[in-house]
Amino acid sequence: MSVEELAVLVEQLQGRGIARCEYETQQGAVVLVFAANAFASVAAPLELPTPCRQENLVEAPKAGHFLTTHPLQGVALAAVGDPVDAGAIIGFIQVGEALEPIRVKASGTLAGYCPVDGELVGYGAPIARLTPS
Amino acid sequence: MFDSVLIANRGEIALRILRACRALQIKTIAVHSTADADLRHVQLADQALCIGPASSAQSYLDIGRLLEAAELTGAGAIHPGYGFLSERADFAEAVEQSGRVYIGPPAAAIRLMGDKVSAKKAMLEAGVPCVPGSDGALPADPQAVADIARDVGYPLIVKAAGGGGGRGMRIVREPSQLAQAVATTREEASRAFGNPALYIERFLENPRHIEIQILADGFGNAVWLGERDCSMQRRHQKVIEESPAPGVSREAIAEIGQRCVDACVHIGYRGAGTFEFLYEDGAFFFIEMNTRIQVEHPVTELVTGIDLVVEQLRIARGEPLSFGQKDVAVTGHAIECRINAEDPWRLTPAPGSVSQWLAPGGPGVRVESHLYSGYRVPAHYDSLVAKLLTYGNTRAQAVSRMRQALDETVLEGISSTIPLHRKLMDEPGFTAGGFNIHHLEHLFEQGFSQFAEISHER
Repeated sequence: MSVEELAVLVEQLQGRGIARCEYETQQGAVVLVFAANAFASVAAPLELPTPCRQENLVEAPKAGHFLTTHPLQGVALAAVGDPVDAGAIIGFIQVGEALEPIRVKASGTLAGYCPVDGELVGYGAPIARLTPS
Repeated sequence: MFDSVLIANRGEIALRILRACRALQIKTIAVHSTADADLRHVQLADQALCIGPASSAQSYLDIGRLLEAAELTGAGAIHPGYGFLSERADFAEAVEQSGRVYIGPPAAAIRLMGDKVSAKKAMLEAGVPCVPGSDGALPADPQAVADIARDVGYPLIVKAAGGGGGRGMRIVREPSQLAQAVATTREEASRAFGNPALYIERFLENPRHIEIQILADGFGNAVWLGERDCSMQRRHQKVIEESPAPGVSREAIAEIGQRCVDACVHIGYRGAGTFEFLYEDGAFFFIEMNTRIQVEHPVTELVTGIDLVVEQLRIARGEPLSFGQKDVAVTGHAIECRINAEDPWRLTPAPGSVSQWLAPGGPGVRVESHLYSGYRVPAHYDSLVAKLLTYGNTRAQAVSRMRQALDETVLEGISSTIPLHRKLMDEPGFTAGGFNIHHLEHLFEQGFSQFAEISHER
């Protein structure tokens, strides 16, 4: 759970007479304990972010041009249908001469790339879809 | 010369910059965080790029990511807007070193005016009146500080040289409080601003906040564009701004305006900027200079007819000012109400989803906002969601139009400061004009709390 998601959760719950909250996602659990005099917000309740199975989607670690191969090697790092292990590099994000590897978080089978080779992608953009092992 | 601008900001000011670029046929590039993908200017920009997560530190405050985005998109210039990196000399320097144009003053001017001690020194050299105070940073020796304080006189205020926005300052009313106040402020300044330098100034009891807008082209030409009265404040944050300042003679404004222009030439300033003053008993005292466009700049645009953001872009393209001081005339009266996503009586943030937004209109009404029905105000950033401005031939007409505009505005789904503004439009002190910077605080102390109870029970 990210700090941003945690902030939204606290914003949602504080001041609503809730003393304790346990929130569980696939990445882990968090326990929130609210003081009796917690600030009473008059804001409308916020919608909670919907938990999603992030391991099915590989996202861009930064903004840049997506590459399926290392510029000096020219060999595709993975092909659709290939099994890929957690930590495996399936592409790069290029900014100028710098390359940032795109790593798979959990093992699976490469179901497809989202951008085309050389396309400019933003931070967090979907890069590849993986079918979990 | 550049033909594309990367907008390194968000919200209403990003939209405002986009519109100014469009007026000059300049291509716009919106960079945004993951929380801001649905912002209006992101949708309207010629190109948009997500540069990081919602956290400002990893998006709008990350110089490396912004410069990479500029390289990836081929941006010729970067506009910092206000807040975020807009007064960071290292950012301006980094942009220029990357071969792009920074739409703002030279880094040296930002650095000079960003340090309150050096800024005050430069202003005194340029003939701009300052509040009586210490000559430079306070020494470490407590006795030496006490001697300086005695000369300045009590009450006084201890300020951090690198502070601003109401942070890093303490009021001292008698000598026995001085040593503790200096020690605490120094520790806080070191921690919050990375600069332990302090200075002291005479504390004015009932000042107004009046500021002068300037434009300078870097060729030795500079103009002042009237004043803004920003005395309606809460916790050092401006709530309502207006121009002209009620009850201040045009001659007095012209005199201080000309001194600001002289100071711009003296420090080699370029771009838009604002000299902020405290005004008490007919005298102006310089507080600080904002080396950027300000939230309240449209107030000046309404009374002068000059598009300040377009002028910023022209100056950054290397063009000399297309008009002189004699061409600048302040006519009529303009008022701005800052609409924040906040509880109107506690002024605490109230992010959430906007179920309906209907902006007001009609003669003399201007709205600067990125809101739309269905937009979700994120919790990560400043709570300003709209600026409502009205213009009239007289102050009374501008106030009347503001009452109507506030009544007409529909903002549902989140709490906002609209009810506070509506209340203030009928408040005798406001309608009379000329109140001091403590006025709103006193109103809250005297009776606005009853509205907080109603709000709480809702």
